[in-house]
Amino acid sequence: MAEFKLKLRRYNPETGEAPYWQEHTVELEPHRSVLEAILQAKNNEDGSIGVRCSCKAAICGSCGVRVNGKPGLACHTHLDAALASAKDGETIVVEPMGNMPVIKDLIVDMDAVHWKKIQRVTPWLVNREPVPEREYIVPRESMVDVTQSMACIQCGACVSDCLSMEVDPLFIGPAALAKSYRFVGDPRDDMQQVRLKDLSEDPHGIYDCTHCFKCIEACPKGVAPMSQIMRLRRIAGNDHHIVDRNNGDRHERAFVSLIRDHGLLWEAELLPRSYGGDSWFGKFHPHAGKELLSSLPAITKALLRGKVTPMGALKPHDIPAKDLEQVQRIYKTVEEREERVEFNLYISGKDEDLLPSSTATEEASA
Amino acid sequence: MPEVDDAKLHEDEQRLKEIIERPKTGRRVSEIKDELGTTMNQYVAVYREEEGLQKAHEVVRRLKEEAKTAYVDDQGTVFNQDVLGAVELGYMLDCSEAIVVAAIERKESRGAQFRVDYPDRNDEEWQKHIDISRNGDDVPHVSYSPVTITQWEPEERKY
Repeated sequence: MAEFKLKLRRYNPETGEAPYWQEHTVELEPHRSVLEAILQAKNNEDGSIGVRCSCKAAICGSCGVRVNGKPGLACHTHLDAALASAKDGETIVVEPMGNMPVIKDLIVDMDAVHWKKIQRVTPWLVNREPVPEREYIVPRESMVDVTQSMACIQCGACVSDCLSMEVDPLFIGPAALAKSYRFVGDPRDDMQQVRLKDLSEDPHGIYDCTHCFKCIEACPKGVAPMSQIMRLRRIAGNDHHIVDRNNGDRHERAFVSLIRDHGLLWEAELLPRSYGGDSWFGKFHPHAGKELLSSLPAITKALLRGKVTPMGALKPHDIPAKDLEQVQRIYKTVEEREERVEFNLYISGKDEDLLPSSTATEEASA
Repeated sequence: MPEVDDAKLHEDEQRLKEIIERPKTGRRVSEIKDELGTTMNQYVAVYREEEGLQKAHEVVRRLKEEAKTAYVDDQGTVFNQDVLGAVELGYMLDCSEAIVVAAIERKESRGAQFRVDYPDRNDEEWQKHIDISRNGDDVPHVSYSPVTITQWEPEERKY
């Protein structure tokens, strides 16, 4: 048994008062969870503490909270680990999740945000017509591909800390987009192109993600929502050639081609290339000009903060020729592949174990 | 949806109000819940015997009395899990009493009940259901009903 200092963020909408902090000391074994600590404080000291929970085993997804500023499941965070990450070295701070309105104490309104967004992505399988008379036998590999997104328990931890959603509350967000990949990646679904077109053209869709990795860090189940969003983009852009009106696809291609051509990102060329494409001609397209003009504030800011210099606008960063060659070799290797390799981190380890031993050795020596 | 009876609704509202307004003189709801859990786990798990079951019965009866004055901290109307806990405690106590009474009643071992004092299965006397019904707020009422044997004939369990 050890003593732990717990600091809870309390809020009661009925008093009309601002949220406040409340401290409790609990006595539990260090391997017990933060949820057990909250429940001990609730049972022994203040029954009015509001916290959602059910299974205490990281499978129901009810107890999503922030522990020392990091989102996760209270039942999946050990007290000793929480103490180790305490900012002052002794107080475990528990707050409600972010990006969602707080109903009371640690309870947030999942309906108003998370579930609305899940509903947005048509979270069910749309069957091929005519519906087959017998069961549809799905190839094993394609199910492996969607397993990661299926592991989601809807706890909201990724939604809590999505930086894009903080700026744009309408962003469909990591959980719902991961959910949509579950169907986009399913060979039985008849709506792959429609779904992707919809998610690309939505100004709050797949191109709203900024690759900040927060959702991957947050997820207690290893779903890696950002990776699912990147898969959606690859299928939308590479397989269906969807060029969206948000310029997301072209912007991404501009990054890729700039690194290929110069080895480093050429910031000054990024916007022109995103709008105008890979040629000088494209930049003089009236549409590109208009969009460039609308980006002037961003460009001015970049100049003021030293992200772009006037000289930098004229020529790209210097990089030794042999280094550039190495960068371009990577491109060559990747682009010469016949098939795009989708690496499923979630079960890749187990998958290899299942390969017949001869194949495994071949791959290892290759 | 069946129509909600206004009188019943009013009665339930009063019941919640009564819980919320209880003075803080009795025990905490969580304390009673904890004692109930510990008792049931100790005496009414798989291995059971008369003495322990009688003890458990006494405790449950006492806790039922104490639950009537158990107080809650949360007086609010938003997400009041405290008052929900108090309501659920009543159901838990009812279920616990039914379990204990039936366990005392069944003087044999069968399925998940292993009576240390009656280790054998006794089909002759006990191949029947024990039905426990709520008898107002007083002691539960015990009755029996016959077992319908379908596909599987009962036989001795051997591992």
